[in-house]
Amino acid sequence: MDGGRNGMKTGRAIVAMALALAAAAAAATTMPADRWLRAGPGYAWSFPRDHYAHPGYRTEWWYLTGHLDVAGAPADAEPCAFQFTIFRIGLDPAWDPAASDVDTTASDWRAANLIMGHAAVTDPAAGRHVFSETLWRAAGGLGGFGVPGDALLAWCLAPPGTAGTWFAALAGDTVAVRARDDRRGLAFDLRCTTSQAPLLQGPGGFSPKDATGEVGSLYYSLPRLAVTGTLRRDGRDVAVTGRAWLDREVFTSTLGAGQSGWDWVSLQLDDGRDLMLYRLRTRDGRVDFALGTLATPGAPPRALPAGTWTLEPLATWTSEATGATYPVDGRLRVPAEAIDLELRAVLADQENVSSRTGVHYWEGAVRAVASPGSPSAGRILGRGFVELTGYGEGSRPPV
Amino acid sequence: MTRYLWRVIARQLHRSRTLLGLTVLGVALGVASVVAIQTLNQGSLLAFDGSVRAISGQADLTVTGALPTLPESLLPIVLGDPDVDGAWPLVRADVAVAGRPDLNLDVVGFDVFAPVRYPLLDAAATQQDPLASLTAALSQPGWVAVTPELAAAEGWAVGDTVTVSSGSRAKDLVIGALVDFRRFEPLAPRRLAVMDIAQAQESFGRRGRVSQIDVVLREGTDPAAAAARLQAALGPGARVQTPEQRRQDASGLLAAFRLNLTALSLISVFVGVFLVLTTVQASLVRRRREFGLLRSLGATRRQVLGLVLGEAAALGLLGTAAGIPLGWLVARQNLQTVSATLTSIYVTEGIDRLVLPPTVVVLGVVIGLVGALGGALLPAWDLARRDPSRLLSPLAVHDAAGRGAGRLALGAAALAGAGTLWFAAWGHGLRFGGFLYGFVLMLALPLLVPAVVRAACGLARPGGFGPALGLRNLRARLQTSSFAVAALAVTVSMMFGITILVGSFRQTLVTWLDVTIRADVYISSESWQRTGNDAFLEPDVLGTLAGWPGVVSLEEQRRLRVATVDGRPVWLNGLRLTDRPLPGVPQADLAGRLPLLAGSPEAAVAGLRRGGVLIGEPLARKAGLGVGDTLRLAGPRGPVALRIDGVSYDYTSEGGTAFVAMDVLTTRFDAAPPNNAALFLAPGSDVEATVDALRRAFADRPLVIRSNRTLRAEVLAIFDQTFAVTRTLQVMALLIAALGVSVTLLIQAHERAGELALLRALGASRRQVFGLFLGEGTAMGALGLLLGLGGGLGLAALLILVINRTWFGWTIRPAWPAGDLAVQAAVVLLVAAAAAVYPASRARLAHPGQLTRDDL
Repeated sequence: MDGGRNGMKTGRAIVAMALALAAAAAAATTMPADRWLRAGPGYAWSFPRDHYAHPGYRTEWWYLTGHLDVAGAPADAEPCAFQFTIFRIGLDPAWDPAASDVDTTASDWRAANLIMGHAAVTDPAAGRHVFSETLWRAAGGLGGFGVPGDALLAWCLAPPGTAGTWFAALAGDTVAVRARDDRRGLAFDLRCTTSQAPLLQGPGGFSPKDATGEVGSLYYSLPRLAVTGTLRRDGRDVAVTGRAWLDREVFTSTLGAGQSGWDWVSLQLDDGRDLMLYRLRTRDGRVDFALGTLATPGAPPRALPAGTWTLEPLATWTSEATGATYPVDGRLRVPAEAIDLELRAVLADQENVSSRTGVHYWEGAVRAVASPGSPSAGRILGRGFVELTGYGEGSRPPV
Repeated sequence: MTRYLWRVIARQLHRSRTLLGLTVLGVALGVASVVAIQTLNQGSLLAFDGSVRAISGQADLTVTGALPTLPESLLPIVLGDPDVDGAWPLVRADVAVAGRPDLNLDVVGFDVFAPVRYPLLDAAATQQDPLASLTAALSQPGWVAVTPELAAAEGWAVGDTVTVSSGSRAKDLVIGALVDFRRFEPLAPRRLAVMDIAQAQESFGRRGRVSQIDVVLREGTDPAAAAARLQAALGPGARVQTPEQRRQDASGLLAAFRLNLTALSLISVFVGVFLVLTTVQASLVRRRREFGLLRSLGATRRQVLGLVLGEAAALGLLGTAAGIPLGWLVARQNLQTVSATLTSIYVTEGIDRLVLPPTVVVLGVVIGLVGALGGALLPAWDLARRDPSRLLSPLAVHDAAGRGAGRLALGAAALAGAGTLWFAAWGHGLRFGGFLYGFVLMLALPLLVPAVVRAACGLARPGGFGPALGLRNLRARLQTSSFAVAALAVTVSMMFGITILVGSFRQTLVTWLDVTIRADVYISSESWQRTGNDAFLEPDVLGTLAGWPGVVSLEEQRRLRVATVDGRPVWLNGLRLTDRPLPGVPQADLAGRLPLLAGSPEAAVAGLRRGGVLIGEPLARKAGLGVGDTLRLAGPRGPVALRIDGVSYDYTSEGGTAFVAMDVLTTRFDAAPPNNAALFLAPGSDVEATVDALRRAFADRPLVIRSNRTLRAEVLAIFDQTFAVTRTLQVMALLIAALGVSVTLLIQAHERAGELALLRALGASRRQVFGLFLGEGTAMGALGLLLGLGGGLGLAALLILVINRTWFGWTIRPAWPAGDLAVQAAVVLLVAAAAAVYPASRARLAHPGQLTRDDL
């Protein structure tokens, strides 16, 4: 029995290792990356088609983060926060069904993708951040991706020990998501409706990740979704309402040469502006590349290239689980837009640690508070999410 | 005293090198036969364990189906259980390797992304870049990882293509990596091969079906409770078991096979005990003066007893030291045939590696020591209790033995009688009753020996120098010669008993084959094994066969491994029921091919038409079922109750066999395509020519095409192979008994040095002395034969009528394999005579000058 347990852990470690290698190799020469399409400028966007999977590219994600007010809670209660992400990880660039004599109808396990789900709930009142994950091959009744016209964008089985599925579904302007992990007490069932057209990030929806312009992603957001649904809190499913941000990125290479991770920020400001910023760091902590977008209601979105904004750490938090030190609080300044905010984590420990892949990163809800010295110092001016990847020894982004 | 003991032992060893050497050899043979059999027995279980642990070692539970496969759609139900921490499906295929008739691969298709620890992804184990393996496992058609051992043995390298087959479907596999299961499971079968589950399903036609689902439970979960809940959730089509339950199933399947071998090997030990008895006895007789002196000098009885037992223990240890390696060698020699027997009759896991389990070593030491001490106890006690003065006077021992012969015979009769009464009254109802009864009879037989020897030798009239003198000598030295004769008698009983059993069984089988194997040509596939796998014939093969010139009728054969609702494995066969007899081929008529034990053929066929079932004799006996009862099988959608319309003789399996109409098999058990086919040819067809033509036509398909005659010959060859290991045991027992003869005569040559010198002085030639000893040896052989014949008959009756029915469930019609028995009798006599050659050549060296005053 003990041997089995240890074996299980060993097995996970081995799979984690293999996946780590697979991910690391994505940009390396061992993987025939040229078999995948490369994200680049000039992509012809079309919706709702582009809400669905893009099998020609190696990787993509549906990345939903948001803040939820629990029905019946006091008006000044800190909202709960959630993250729901589905990753598509393409597996099989060399395999071309048309060129193979394999009868692909002879097994439902033939998989071109892995599907990985990450879900997290932060409950500031309880001081608790709960993370759950799934990882399946996208086949054989374990998971899959819809094609344009399907109700489901992506779905997979819940983690072992929990019945049912996780999914992201599309109906008109609404994205419905569900995640459940009975063992960790995590569950939510949310309908997120947009009243805006997709916001293309970067020129023409191509978001470069380094100065060469060779590495980048196809990227759009639905930055201000109205949310209704239920959230499990202390074992009870409670009604919630709130606001969410959906990011969609499609790419084949994650990081440019020499890059080790990124900092990403999304902010929904109370004045109606939506701000997205990212910067890519080298191993020595230097910022290699940065870009952002500011969307103001009634005006075209404005690009915020490097030099137009700064994000300085105010406080760090070191994880006991992984030893990684994250700059969880920071001061964000965009002088040309009169933005000077402190981003304060609603909870220091919002680290996601995956036991299946060995990956860890910080994905946390933050309050945007007016900086000291500004006219409304200390007032909450908006809410958002911060994502910090590549922190800690040997750490790497989730995909 | 201890120092003295060691000095004495050393001196004895030196002085009686030959005698003790032979005895040690005898003990070694006895120990070897037990060690060999136990090593093989354990090997069969360890092979199953090793396979289970290598494949499912991390699983707390395994879900299998009521049918050989289960729908993969059950996986999400398993994964949704609150106590499940992980679950993954496995697709298993037992495939044949083209061009290698004896090599099957156990292909395990698994989800390479499941959290299961297979060393596939371990760079050190695979010697491959794990990432390359993972990518290739998915994308390279036919990618498979094999064990380094198999690759080395077959000369395969990474990148090589190996053609394998499952049923009539051939598939090229590419060796993509080496996967060393031994790193995690030392007894992992070397014929394991792993590939991605998608490729396994695609390659072997298993879409939507998996062989098993392995389950890891949350820490602290009670496996029994979780199993019960999962069982309820999955329904009757699935079976949830712990690894221990699976092991017990395998162990139960093998129980009869293992027990029979164990019992036979114990006979060798029994024979060995007599040998020790003879030697110790002789040694004591020879040294009686020494012991008399020791006692006179103040040694206590206890010390003398200790001295003798110490010597015996040393003998036992020496014999054990030689016997354990010898047993290991014998086990290795018999590995192939035992493994082949296991795979053709019982389980799919053959033994491909033997280990010498520590328990078997301990058992060998215990057997060697207990046997040696047991053999020495009686003479040692006899010696110790004697008065020193009597020890100092000659030939006291034989006199006593002579007087005791009658009492011993009475004892034998009493023992046998009591045993028979016990067996008649209670024993026959017990599972081990037959074995115990046989053991009692084998105990009684030696007790009878002195009386029989005395009576037989008494018939020899005094006078002359021929065999008559030899016989009288035997009588005069009743005690020592009795041991040798007893050992022979027990050995011959065992030999004859088994020979009669095997001969009867073979004859029964031939008769049964005459009734059941009636078609002209049989088509099977290379991967088809009687222990079963999903080896199917594809429709195009069947179509070609059905339309072949001269084929009057094609009979599809489907065989499916299912289980009764209480878990007893049953081979379910589908029978084709035709409405009217085929013109010109009366042998195709089903009613004429049912070897019924109970029920009439017409009623049975009518019953089958109504959806009834015929069951094989072993199932009827073991499950206590008969005509009119109901057979309850676990079906894919719940229990299937079938009325039993007949019980037929069946020798295809010692487990359960049942026959239903084909439509019952296909509708209620979702049977897949047929496994085998049989062809009836038009009268006057040339069967062998048709077989040749079919073989040419299907040259590129992994099919096995046999004529009726060839199939029969192969069935009988498998039968003979099954008993190969018993022949080894017979030979070993006979060798030990022969050693007994040698030892006895050697002792006599020594003891009777004076008498021989006298004979020589009186004018006997050396040749006559040689002949005298040869005659004594042959006489012992003859007496052993005589007694053994009786014992053998009894044992055969017991084996055929009791033990086989209880443990295997087969009816065997007694037959008299006269030829085999005559050959064996001649061998026994020859061996006994040969065993006398060396002592006789020693005796002939006696010289008149060796006469002492005492001898006159």
